[in-house]
Order: sequence, then structure tokens, then C-alpha cells
Amino acid sequence: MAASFPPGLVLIIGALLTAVTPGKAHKAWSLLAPLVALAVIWTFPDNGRIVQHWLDYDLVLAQFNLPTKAFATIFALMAFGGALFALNQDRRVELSGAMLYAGAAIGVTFAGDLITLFMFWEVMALGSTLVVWAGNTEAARKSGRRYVNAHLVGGAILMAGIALHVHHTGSILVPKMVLGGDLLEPVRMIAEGGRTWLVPSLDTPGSILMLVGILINAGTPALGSWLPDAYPEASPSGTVFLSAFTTKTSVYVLLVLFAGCNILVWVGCLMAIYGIVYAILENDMRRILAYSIINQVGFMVCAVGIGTGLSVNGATAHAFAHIIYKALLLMSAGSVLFMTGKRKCTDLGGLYKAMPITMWCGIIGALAISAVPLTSGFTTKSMITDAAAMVELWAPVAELDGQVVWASLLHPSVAWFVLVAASAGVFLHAGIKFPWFVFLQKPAPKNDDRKLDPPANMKGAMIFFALLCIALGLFPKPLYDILPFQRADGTPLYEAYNYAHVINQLQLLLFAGLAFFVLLDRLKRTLTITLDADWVYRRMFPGLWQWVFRPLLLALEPIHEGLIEDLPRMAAREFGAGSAKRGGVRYQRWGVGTTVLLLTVVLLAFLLLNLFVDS
Amino acid sequence: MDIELPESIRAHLPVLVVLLPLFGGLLAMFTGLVQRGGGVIAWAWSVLITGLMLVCSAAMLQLVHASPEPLVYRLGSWPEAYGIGYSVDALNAYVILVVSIIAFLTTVYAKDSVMAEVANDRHHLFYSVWLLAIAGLIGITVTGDTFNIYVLLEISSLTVYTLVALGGDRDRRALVAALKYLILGSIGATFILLGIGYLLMLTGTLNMGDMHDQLVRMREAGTLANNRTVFVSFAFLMVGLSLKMALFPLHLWLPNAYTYAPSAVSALVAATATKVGVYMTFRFVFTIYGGVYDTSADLQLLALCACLGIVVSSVAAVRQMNVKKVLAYSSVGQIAYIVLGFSLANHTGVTASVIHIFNHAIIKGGMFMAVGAVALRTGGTKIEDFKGIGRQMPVTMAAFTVGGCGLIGVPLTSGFISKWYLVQAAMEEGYWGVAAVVLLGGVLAIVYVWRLIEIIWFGTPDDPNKRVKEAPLSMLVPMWILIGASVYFGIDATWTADSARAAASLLLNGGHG
Repeated sequence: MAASFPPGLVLIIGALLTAVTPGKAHKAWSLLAPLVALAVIWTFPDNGRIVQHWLDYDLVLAQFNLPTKAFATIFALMAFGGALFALNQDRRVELSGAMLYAGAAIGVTFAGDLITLFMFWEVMALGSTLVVWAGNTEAARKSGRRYVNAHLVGGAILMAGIALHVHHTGSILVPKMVLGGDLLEPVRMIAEGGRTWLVPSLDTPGSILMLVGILINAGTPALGSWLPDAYPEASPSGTVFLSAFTTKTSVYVLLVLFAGCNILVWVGCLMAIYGIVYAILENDMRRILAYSIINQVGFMVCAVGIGTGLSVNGATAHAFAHIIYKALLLMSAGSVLFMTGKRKCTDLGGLYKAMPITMWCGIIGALAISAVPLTSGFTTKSMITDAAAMVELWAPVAELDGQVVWASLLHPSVAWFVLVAASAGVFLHAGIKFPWFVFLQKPAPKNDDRKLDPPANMKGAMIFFALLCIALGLFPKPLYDILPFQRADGTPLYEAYNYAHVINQLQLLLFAGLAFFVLLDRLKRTLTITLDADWVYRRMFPGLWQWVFRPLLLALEPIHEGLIEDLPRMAAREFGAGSAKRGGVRYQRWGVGTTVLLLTVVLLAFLLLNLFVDS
Repeated sequence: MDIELPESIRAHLPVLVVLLPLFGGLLAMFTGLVQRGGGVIAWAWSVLITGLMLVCSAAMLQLVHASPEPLVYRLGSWPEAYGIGYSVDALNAYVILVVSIIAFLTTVYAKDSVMAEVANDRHHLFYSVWLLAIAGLIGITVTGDTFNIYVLLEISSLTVYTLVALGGDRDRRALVAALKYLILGSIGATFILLGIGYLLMLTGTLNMGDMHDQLVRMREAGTLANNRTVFVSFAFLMVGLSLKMALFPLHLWLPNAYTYAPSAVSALVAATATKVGVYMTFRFVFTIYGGVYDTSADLQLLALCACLGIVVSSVAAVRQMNVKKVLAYSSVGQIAYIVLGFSLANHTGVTASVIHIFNHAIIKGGMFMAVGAVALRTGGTKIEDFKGIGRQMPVTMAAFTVGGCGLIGVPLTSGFISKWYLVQAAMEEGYWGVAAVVLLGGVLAIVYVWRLIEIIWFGTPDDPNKRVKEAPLSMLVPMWILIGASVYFGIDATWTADSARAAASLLLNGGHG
């Protein structure tokens, strides 16, 4: 096949062009680059591989893994939609950051080996930090710092995991996924040389570290507080970009490395519930949506843990659909923020007359996230719940003497209940709560003839994504066609619209909707702050330092001083050279005397060491 | 890039790389006769000399790679056993090239910085001492004679003390820093001399290759095992060298010396002086003692010091209020990475060390250059001087930021390559703790680098009306060459990795190449 270009690099080059092109022309690059990237993705040969020798390894810079096409396609679409939404604003740093970010995300999906994957992973962290920082407020700066620290630390953990893994197995390649025959069977992962890929069974410290590193990026509770912390602080368009790539890239990486790792089922359930609880408690509209990202990613992580052909397809499809409707919701929220400057539910409401297009697009997004039939959420999420229901077919983590070993504490069917309950919860917090509090809630002011719908490009981006939501709900086939596993006989991959599905979902939604209005008074948001795990590093660590460690260190100071100052001085006086006064200028403390003392100690250490070793 | 030199020059390359800066340095003084203080002429002369030196060292590396045997050059044609022999192999040709590149670029860079920071009537002296320091550093690297190492070490050290003290025109604290550096450096050099003296006593020769052969002969004769002179000399050498390398806990001279030296000097010294110390250690540990005597316990002690050094110095770097000092403490940590690599004593570890010698030299050199540019424009290097400077000097600060990513070890920068090899080396030995320390060091680097980056790009200047210009081109170009190289060699590490691997094989196979 003709040598192709690594698709991830297209957008990265686009990012550089966006950064350096003078004047308004940089915006053209931000629209053009995603389209070129999309073309490169779709013309990339099916069995093409771009191999580059690096250090001792042959890196596979680009190849199609099974879920690659769906993820890369939606990333490129998202970069385009986000750039369109941002077109009217002059945010060069944000745009080039976002292009870098999207390009790196596409790079991750095409990576054929762990090192390439890690490199793009880190570039992604840097690009997204630029996007957060481009929010250009004090709050954005601070949460940007926490954001980048969390990601670079996560990156270090992932790198440690990869290094350990490479050291153990000697192979850097991403495993191949194969499916026996039926979609309902567990996926088999084959490592280089035909061996079984053991990472999902968490057999080594390396695989555990990798998992932790990835889960930090996925926004898993306790590790992922950076997400609701940073996303709402970015600019209106910045949040749209941010919502798409980081967590979904983590889902992709979990898919290709950890499919069938059952612990992820529970991690996913935890995320789904956590997202709902915090979203219901939240007042800031964009933070509500940020928490609901965690909830939705929870579904996907759970599907990865289930590890059957259907669930892998489901996770991929759901990621695809999720990016679209989440971006749509955040565009709608972003438009409100952009036009009114308000972000709290308590300050908003009654915008239905002033912003009709924004409202309708928001509602379509809300319906899609709630998986109402005829929207994209319905045709994708039901795959995951279906896969969860067929418990006996889940991919077991390992087989011992013919016995299937499950790495989980709970009975697998619990997961299905959690997912279904979470589906109802989604409708509650995102499906109704967001449009209700933002657009409806209060009556519009009398004679409201404000025209607050945002500029044309923003409207265009919203309408484009809203249409995609509906289109995928009505005609999911094009999406199904690029999912990882296809049926051999060419029959339709999945039938979302059958009697049981539709009735089930409608029942669920109706009762959830009922519950919302019954409980409306209790759900009305007041100005509150909710505690999350980031409290640990935002309050507890500084508090510990201020109230515990620092006093302790100060109490120990005399000993410290005696050691580094008095002792050398005493020694010096003993040998007749004591003139240094105590407590001189600070830089005199770590002076010559100390070093000479240390020098003697080290010399002694060497001599003793050799004395004992040799004799 | 092939460098064709006439045969008459090619045969003398090993000595030319030393003689050029040595005599260039002496002659640089006379530029003071042409113009008071030497001025631009002194600078241009130094650029010429270091440029020629760079060409020679590049040609020499090619020559070494092309020939199976190391190049041996006998000064005055005396046999090595009596005279001084220079010996160039894959390792020192590489280090010499690194030093030459940095020397040339920092010399180009020095023009405006020295104008601003050193009194005008002393430039001829400055460049004279500057070139002599370079001559000393290159000389240490090229020679195969241990006593010659000591002599050149003294040349380079005395000149560097002087260079640091010249920072006294800007900040009087440079004088104290230089004095302390002088006292400690001299003690270190004395220890090294003692070590060499014991070795001479033992083997009756000063030539490295000869020493090694004698030691091997002694071991075969069975007279080495309980010979305390051997390990006493080794202990003295290790301590002296640790001090010269600024290995924790003997690093205390370094932060102040780097901080108060003139900016150009910081860039030169931070990028080369400690690296040459590491090179000397390689020679003593592997070339002379390698395969003769079991140094594993001593190397473990070094590894322990290095691990502590990585953590302690990175924590110290977080707390500094002067950007140069942050970089200085970070240098202590980075040296510890280099020491850690070779003290693992396996092939990957030594490779990591050799690679990091180059990578750290270019990253830290480039970063000190960026700080020097800020010092030129704002007059200081305190944290306050850096608040929001990114908006006024974006090109300089972009270089600083990329360099900072290199210190952290972000992929696609050369720092990542070093870190990757180092972690692999630790794992090969099964030292999980060491691998964890390396990664922890990276995390701590995130903290101290990001603190600066945030202040640079997002800080609000104390005086919002103060406008400063972007750095002059003569600073930006060398700075970006180094920083660009750190990115280039992070993406395509073939050259560094191959050179380092060749050097590592050479060292671990025991021979003096």
C-alpha cells in the first residue's frame, strides 16, 4: 500500500500552523486541518503500518486497531465542530492547543505500540492544559495547574507501568483483539508472538500501574477530580474541546489494553453513580455537564470490563455518540455563558424566548444523553446494557483448571441494575435538569424581545451536532459499520429498535421524569459547594503542611541547626579556627565547614565499606 | 556532514583541540592592547577559536568512529610511559564534541551578556580566562595521563573560580561564592591528587592504560586482593570526584557559584564542568579499576547518594526564590541521574549516563541562556523579575518552557530518552526502588518547573508599565539551537543513543579503548 501519513500528525502540524499564522488566517487552519485529518484517516490503508525505528525499538506510529476508526473519526469531527464553534472568538492559544490536543488524541488511537501511545498521551496532556489556561481567568490558571499536575503525574505512573511491562515481556506492541464467532462471546486478546495478553488479569505490577495511570485520565472518582475542577473553568469553546478527548481516549486505551478486566465493571459502575450524585448536587451548569461526563464514561468503562464483542462495540459506539451530544450540550451551555455571562443555575432560567435555537439544541442533546428513542444515545447505550445483562458470557479474567475466575467481589448481575438505575439518573440530572433550570424554570420576562441566540458560527456548530444526534438515532448503520466487530454473515450488527428496548427505556424515562417534577423543590439548587476528592490536595495537604508538618519542622529546627551549623563550628573551634558567628546571612549556613565535614564522612564511608568488603 | 581536513592537521587533532583554546586564551589578553578592555574584538577572537575547536572535535569524532583503534597522540613523541599521551576513543571524542558545541554556542551568546554584566575594562581578561577554562575542560577529557588530568583540572578549576568571581561586578555575593568554591574545589582536587599518588605508588606509572595493565598483572599475581593502597586510593578518588561532580551531599558549593556567576558563565559551567567530572569518574571507575577490583559496593554507595540527591535537590529547587538557583539545584538532581546511571554498572545504565551527559548539557545550557537573557533585559533573575515576562519575551521564554519540559522528561524531548534508559537500567538490576526514585524525580521536576512556567506566562508584573524588549538575536540563536537540539534528539535519538552505546561498551569491556 502507498505509504500514508500518521493521521495524528496532521492536526499537530495544523496546531503549529494555527500558532504561527499571523492575523485572522489562523482560524482557517483550525477548520481545514480537522477535515484533512479526517480524509487521511479514511484513506489510511486497512492493513497499513508506519514503522519508525527509535532507540532499540520499532515503533508503530500508525496502524488500525479495531476500535481506531470510530474513535479517530469522531475526534476529527469534534475538532472541526469545536473549531467552528470557536470561530468568532479570537483565541489563538486555545485553538492551537485544541488542535494539538485533538491531533495527539488521534495519534493515541492509531498507536500500534505502547511507547508511541504514551508519547501522544503526554502531548495530549500539554495541549489540553493550554486549552484550560486559555480560559484566561485566575481560576482557570489555578485549576490549570492542578490539571497539568494531575496529568503529568498520571503520565509518570503510566510510563512506569509501560516500562515495567516492556521489561517483563520484551514486547512493546499493542495486542490484537479477536473474536471467536458470535458477538456475545468474550474478546480474546493476543499479544506479540501469539501469546495471551495477560494485562487485563492485572498479573503484574506493571499492568496495575498502567491501569491507574489510565484511570486518572478517565476521571475515575478519587483520581479524577481534575475533571470537574478544570473543565468548567475553560472558556465557553474550550470546555467543548475538553469534554471530548481526554476521557474518551482513556476509554479507547482501556479497550485495546484492558478489555475483559472485570474490575473495570465496578469502576465503571462507581463512576456512573458518582457522576449522577454530584451532578444532582451541583449548581454550575457546566459543572453539571462535567460530572455527567464521568457518569457517561462510567458506562463505557463498565462495557470495557465486560469484554464481550457486543460490549466492546457498545463502548466504541457510545463513545462516538457521547462525544457528539456532550459537545452539543456544552455548546448550548457555552452559548448561554457567552451571551449572558452567567453560569449558575440559580442565576439562569427563562431564556426560552430569547434563545430558542440554543434551547432546542440543548434539549436535543439532553434527550440524546438520556437515550430517548430516535436519538443517538438510544442506539448506542442499549448495546452496553444488553451486554451487561448477559452475565454468563462476560469475559472471565482468567481460567484456572477449567474454572472461570472472576476478579470481582459482587455478583456480575448487580452491574446491570446499576447501569439501568444510572440511565434513569442521567435523565434526571442532565436530561431534564439542565434544560429546565437553564431555559425554562422561571417565566421569561414580559415583553422579552432580547435576541440572545449566539452568532451564526456557534449556531451552525450546534445545529450540525444536533442533526448528527438525530441522524445516528434514526440511521445508526454508518456508525455500526465502523465498530470493531462485524457479523461475518453481513446481517445487521445490532437492532436497537425492538419492542422490549423501546418500552423499557420509555418506562424508565417517564418515571424518572415524574420523579424530577415531584421532587422539584428539593432539587432546586442553592449556592453550595460540594466536597470532592480534590479536597485532599487542595485543602488537606496544605492544611497538613500548615498545621502539622511545618510546626513539626520548626520544632526540629534546633536539632537541624545543631547538626549543620553548631557541630562544624564546634569542630572548627576545637581545631582553632572558630570565627564564624552563629545565625549569619542565610547562604553562609550551608558553607565550607559543612561540606568538609560531609566530605570526611563520605570518605570514611568509602573506607569502611572497602575494609569490610575486601577483608 | 563530512569534514575533510588535510592530513597534516588530522594527525594533530587530539592536541589541537587543547592548544587552540590554550593559546587562544593567552592571546586573547592582547586584544586589550587594541581596544581598552578588548571589547568586541576579544569576543570575536573567542568565537573564532571555539569555532575552530568545534570543527576539530567534530572531525576527531569522525576519525574515531572510522578507526578501530583509539587515536593515540604522544606529546613531544615521548613514549607514553615517560611522557604525556593523549588518547581519544569513542567516549572522550563524544564528550569533547559536547563540550566544544556548548563552548562555541555559549561564546557566541556571551557578547551582550558579558557587556552588561562584566566591567568594560576587563573583557579581554574575561575571554582569556574563559578560553583557558575551556582548554582545561577539553584537556582533562583528551588526556590519557592521570597526572595531566590533575594539572588540567587545576587549570579549569582556577579559571572557573575566576569566572564566577567576575560576577562580583553585578552582585558582590559572587565573591563569597567563588571563594567557597575555591576552597572546596581545592580540597576535592587534593583528594584526587592523593588518589592518583597512591596509584602511582602502586603501579609506578601515570598512564591510564598502563595503570590498568599493572593492576591486572597484580591481580593475576594475587598481590592485589588485600592491598589497602588500592582501596584507599579509590576512596580518595571517589570522594574528590564526587565533589567535583557536585554529587549530593558534596554539592553545596554549586548552587551559589552557579547563581552569582555571570550568566554566560553559568551556561558554560553548568553544561560542561560537572560533565567533565563525570567523565573523569568514568575513566577511573571503569578504565583504570574496571575488571581489576570489585567496586560494586562503592558504586552502590554512589547510587544511594544519587537517589538521595535526586529527591533532596529537587525539593530544594522547589523552594528557591531565584530562578538561577532553581536551575542550579535542578542541576544537582540531574547530575545525580547521571551518577545513578553508571553506578548501576550495567550496559543500559552507562548508556543512560552518557546520553544524559549530552542531553542535560544542551537542556540546561539552553535554559541558563534564557535566564541570562532575562537578566540582561530586566537586570535580575529573581522570581519577581520573571512575573509575566512570557508576554514580553515570548521567544526566550518559549525556549525556557521547552527546556523545562526536557527537565521533566516529557516525551519528544531528549530528557525522556535519558529517563527511559535509566528506568530500564534500574529494572534490569531489579532495583524497583531506584526506578521509583527516577520517576519521583520527574514528578518533583514537574513541581519546580511548572511553578516557574506559571509565573512566567501568567504572573502579573510588579510594575505593569515596565516594558522590556525581546532578547537580541545573538542570544536567541544559540539558545534555540540548544533547545531545538533537545527536541530533535528527543525525536530522533539515533546519534546520541549509538554514540552512548559505543561508549558504554568501551567502558564496560574494561579496556582503555
